Amino acid sequence: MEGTKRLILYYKKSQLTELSLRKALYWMSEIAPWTLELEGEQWKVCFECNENEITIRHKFECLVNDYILRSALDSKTSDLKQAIIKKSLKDLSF
Amino acid sequence: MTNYSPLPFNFKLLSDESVVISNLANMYHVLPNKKDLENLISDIGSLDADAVDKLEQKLFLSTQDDFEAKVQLTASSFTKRIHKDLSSPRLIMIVPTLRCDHHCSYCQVSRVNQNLDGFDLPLSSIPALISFIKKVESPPYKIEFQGGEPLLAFEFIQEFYNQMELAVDKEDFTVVIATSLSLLNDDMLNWCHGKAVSFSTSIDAGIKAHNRHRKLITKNSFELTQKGINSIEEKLGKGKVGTVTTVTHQGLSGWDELVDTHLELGLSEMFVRPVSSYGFAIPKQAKDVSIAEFMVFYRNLIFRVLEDNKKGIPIVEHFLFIHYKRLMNAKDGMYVDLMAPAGYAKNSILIDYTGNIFGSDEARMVYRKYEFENLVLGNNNDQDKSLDIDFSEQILSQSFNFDVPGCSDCVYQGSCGSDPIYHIQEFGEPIGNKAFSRFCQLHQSVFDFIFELLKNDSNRTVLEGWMNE
Repeated sequence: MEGTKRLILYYKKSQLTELSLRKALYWMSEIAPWTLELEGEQWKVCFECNENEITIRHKFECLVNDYILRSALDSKTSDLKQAIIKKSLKDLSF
Repeated sequence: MTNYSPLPFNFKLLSDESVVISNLANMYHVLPNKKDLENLISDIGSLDADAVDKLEQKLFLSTQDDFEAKVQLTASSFTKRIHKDLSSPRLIMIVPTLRCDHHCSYCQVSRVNQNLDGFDLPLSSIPALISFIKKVESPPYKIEFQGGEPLLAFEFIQEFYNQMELAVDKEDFTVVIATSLSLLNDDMLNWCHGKAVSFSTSIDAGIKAHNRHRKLITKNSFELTQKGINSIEEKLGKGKVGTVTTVTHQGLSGWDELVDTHLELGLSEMFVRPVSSYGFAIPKQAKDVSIAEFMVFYRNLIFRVLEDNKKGIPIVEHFLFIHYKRLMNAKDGMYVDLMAPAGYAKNSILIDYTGNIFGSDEARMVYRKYEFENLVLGNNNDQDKSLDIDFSEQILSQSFNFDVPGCSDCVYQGSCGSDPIYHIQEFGEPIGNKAFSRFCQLHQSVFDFIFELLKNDSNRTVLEGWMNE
């Protein structure tokens, strides 16, 4: 489309999981259409943007950073979280 | 040296670089910066002792010794919170008529002209209505008459009240009439005297905006509301009328005027929210006011309200207050929009002018617009048939917010709710895409704003004062 720029970002597959990327991309849909592809050992994220390339990049990188942190936290607490939820729902005894 | 481990939590970075964290026990804590967040996840030893102490108390950190106890405590708090949302009382709404004297630009239910026939609940439906109420809810019953304009069906309200008094203890029910007050007269007020009847009315932001959107041929909707409030306070006393404010584009600069109007009318409570996006209001509101625009208005309004409180002028804004109560796990922090599982059907039920029964007011709005039959649970005229709750059960089972996209990572998960009817309307399914959800934007913005306010001790004092009233 005329006037539409493409912002292409690459992330090493070894450093970022697909889940973290997709969780970050979930919040980007409102801002810009996106695609995610695997190219060799890298994730290729492509945004369609107008004049807001810097804003999109900033917003996305912040989200990615947050989801990397969440992923680190999940690796330590995710099972426990599920166990707590399961126990709580059982205690409610519907 | 004590060996700490983090317990599960969610987080969000705020605009001033601080970080809000929360856990399944719905405890909140604010970290001063992202570095502390990173340390909490990977290098707890580098956090200062005071921070560690607070994080331990709030169930964000455990040691080997107290791990089991803290997990138990978290699970029990989580259970308690869900139980609270499951067991709070149900509001019974009755639409005695769809007729209305107003023609509001953002009407959600597509009201009909006041002289039309066929849009009223007949008086003969009252015994079945009361029997239905007694079947689905236990006392004390909270009944709200909605419209259309319920004062056009005042005879119905009177007859319902009289029969209700015979069917249950007088102390076991209260009635609220949601009305523009334009048709209120002395006979009605005299009848209300000494009864458990109160009024809920609308004062929009900006008198001009009020009259522009709440259309009457006489173009004096606001003046009639003002007159009605004065009459209620004079004849029935204080505390018998509450207000709800809708903020439209035309009212976006009217925060001071709105507070002044309330104070001049002797009202010390207000409830302010953006124009709602249900039913027939969608195309009109979508062009009208965004959540970002609403928040500019709302922030100014709240700053004004807080300043007034600091000067000794008591005025409470309940939309903010209910969000604050949800964050503080207050006992009475129940609000049908901020519940997970959702308040739909379990905390509200509505019987409309046809006798159709819905799980919420919003459900009837969506039904009126899209004729979505699944939202009709049954009909008051056909009580031999049991309610069709299959679809409602499906909706409710998907309205826990700890495991749905967009909510599972959200720091406000434990205080927020889920609004399946809104998301069905917008996305065709009850969870929806939160990146596009007006519901999500609004409530996140208000929660963020509260954490910003709490950084100032004098604001905190005002909010705590509201809690203690």
